[in-house]
Amino acid sequence: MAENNTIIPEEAYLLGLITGRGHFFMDSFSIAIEFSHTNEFIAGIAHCPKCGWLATDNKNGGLKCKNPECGHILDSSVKKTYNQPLSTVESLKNVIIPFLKTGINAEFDITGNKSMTILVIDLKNDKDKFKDITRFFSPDTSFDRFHIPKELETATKEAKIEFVNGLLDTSGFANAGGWLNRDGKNGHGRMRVYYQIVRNWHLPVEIDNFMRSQFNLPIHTIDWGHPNIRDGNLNDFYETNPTSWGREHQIKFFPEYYGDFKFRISSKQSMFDELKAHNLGVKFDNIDDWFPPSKITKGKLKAYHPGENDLRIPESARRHFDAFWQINLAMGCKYLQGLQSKSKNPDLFAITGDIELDEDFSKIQAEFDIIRNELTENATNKKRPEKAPSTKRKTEKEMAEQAMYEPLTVFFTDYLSKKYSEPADAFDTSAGNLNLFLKNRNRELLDVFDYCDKYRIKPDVVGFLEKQKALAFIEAKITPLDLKSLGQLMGYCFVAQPIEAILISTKEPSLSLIKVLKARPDLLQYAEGRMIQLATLQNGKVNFINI
Amino acid sequence: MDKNIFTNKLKNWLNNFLNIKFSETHEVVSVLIPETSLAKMNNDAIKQIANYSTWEFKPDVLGILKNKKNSRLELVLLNRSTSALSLKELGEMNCYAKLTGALLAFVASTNGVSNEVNILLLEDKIRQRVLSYGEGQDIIVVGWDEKNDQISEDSVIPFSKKDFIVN
Repeated sequence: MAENNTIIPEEAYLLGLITGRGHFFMDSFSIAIEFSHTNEFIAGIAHCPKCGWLATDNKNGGLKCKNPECGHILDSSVKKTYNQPLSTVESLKNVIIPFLKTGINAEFDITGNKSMTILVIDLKNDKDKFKDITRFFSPDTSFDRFHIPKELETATKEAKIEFVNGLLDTSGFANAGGWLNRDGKNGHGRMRVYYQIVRNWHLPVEIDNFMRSQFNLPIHTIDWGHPNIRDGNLNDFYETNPTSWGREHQIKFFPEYYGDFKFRISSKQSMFDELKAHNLGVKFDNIDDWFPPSKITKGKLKAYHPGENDLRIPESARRHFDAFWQINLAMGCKYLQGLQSKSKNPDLFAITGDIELDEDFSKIQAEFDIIRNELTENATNKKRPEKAPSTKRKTEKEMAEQAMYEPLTVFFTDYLSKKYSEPADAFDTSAGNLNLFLKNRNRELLDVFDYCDKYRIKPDVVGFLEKQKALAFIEAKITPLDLKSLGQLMGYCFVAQPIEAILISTKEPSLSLIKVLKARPDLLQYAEGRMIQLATLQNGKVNFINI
Repeated sequence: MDKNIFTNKLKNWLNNFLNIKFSETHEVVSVLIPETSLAKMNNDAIKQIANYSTWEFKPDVLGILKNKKNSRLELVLLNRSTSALSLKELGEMNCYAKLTGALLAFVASTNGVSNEVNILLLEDKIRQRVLSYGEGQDIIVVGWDEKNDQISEDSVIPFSKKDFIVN
């Protein structure tokens, strides 16, 4: 911050980057910012050379003009393509880091891979600055929990714009496929850009409200990663993936209103310019803002979805919704709250969006419920295409290893509670990362083991000792234990420092491993006084091996 | 990229790298792609190193250097992957490097480090625990830039080794 406590533009931009995709490393006094680019290349949009209308992918290859009176076929090569990882790294080196350096005294480094570039900002030489920055987000340390810093509300306009620029560079995406079926004066298709918000449920409404209150800008819609919004008719639930709804949230807006802002990542800015130029050329009269919300009539009601009570959804949104704006209200949208307070019946407003309606709430609720139940029944009984057998079959080895998890979970619960004389729980966590297991399946444990939030590791069985907030790991194998399997568990142990770690196989360990460990027992050590133990699981019994 | 092609590219890279970086202090005895575990290799140099018979593992590329000062033989280990690196590969290399007291230990991938691990390795304490295998000795993680056929400058972890690797 500047001496008079105002946020300088460079700092505001950094706050935007952090809000979008930042992590704090409190012990290292460093900040990491993720720049995600799932696809190495993205293609721009194409226009028909004959009539100027939008041309989109044709079923038979190439591109076809959307103008029904033209229908001209074009070659796909007319589209510009952008190399995302390359442009991200170049923009960081040539534009973003030099800009940040003018206001922030830090060491900057870049790392990453084809799908993500990470900017690392090391503030060891200016720890006060690190503390200043983290204070804006305190007590949170990662982007899936960050809020927009309140201090921005009183910042200068330039700082507010830079904050949005930072947010756009990390969480903003301008893709050719996000257009809306709308007719304009000179053509068809209205392009949209979106903020992609990952696992953070309060940020979408905060961004929407920030853009309205600070810039008076419209938002087209918020596509929530909620079952009623992403899988309203239960097609995915019954046909493909029951939890397909569990994706990121998207806040969609029209680029022509965002002239005050810029991306510093060159490929994103180029795409943004293409989409903006298209919308300005086609000319749309309607602002197409979601606010005030559309009324929910009986025809807009949605079926009940089994995922509505999923633990991934925060309590305030863990229920049924018929429209996306109802989630906005549940997540604290101040504009909707204002409208609700003026409505004749606030409860009815919440389920209908009608500010004038003042009838018997329970009667309307009951009518809606009957319709939703009918929709649910229809979706459940709908004749659907036969599910193609999954091509991703588990190997025999995977199945045999999986069969070990249940007896090991029982053993580990008993072993840990006896050894440490306190209640212990053990779970099969092999299906995914430990942090997601806690977030999605055991929120109560996550409250105790909050430090596991950063552990994106996948041990087979994890024991939890709640009193001492300690973890314990088991890695299970059906092959003789060797250095390779030891190394794998060692990797997890280096990260999480469990109180116990056991490497178990249904077979005896290889003689070469025993030979090595007799000479070098230190290879089992992963922390001061903590060693991996070896064991076998035979006839349902775990036997420890003394080296 | 085909795994064998990648292994050969890394062998050539390691050979050049060792000859440039260690020419003053070491003689590069050989850089090779082992076909069996080090314990079973028919290699005179390996058999001169203490405890080699317990080295029941096979790195993807092996460098053998001779220290010009004391004639001591020292190993350089390199494992490669064509998918993004996980803690498995790093933990595995940590065991091998600790066991052999390797002079250098590399893990290379055409896809760099997985996003999950990349974030973990940015935390100083975790990175030190995962990569350190001795006093002042860290596993060096590198990504391979397939387009330019070289180590990607922005992929080297820990950052402190970047200059050493790419310049």
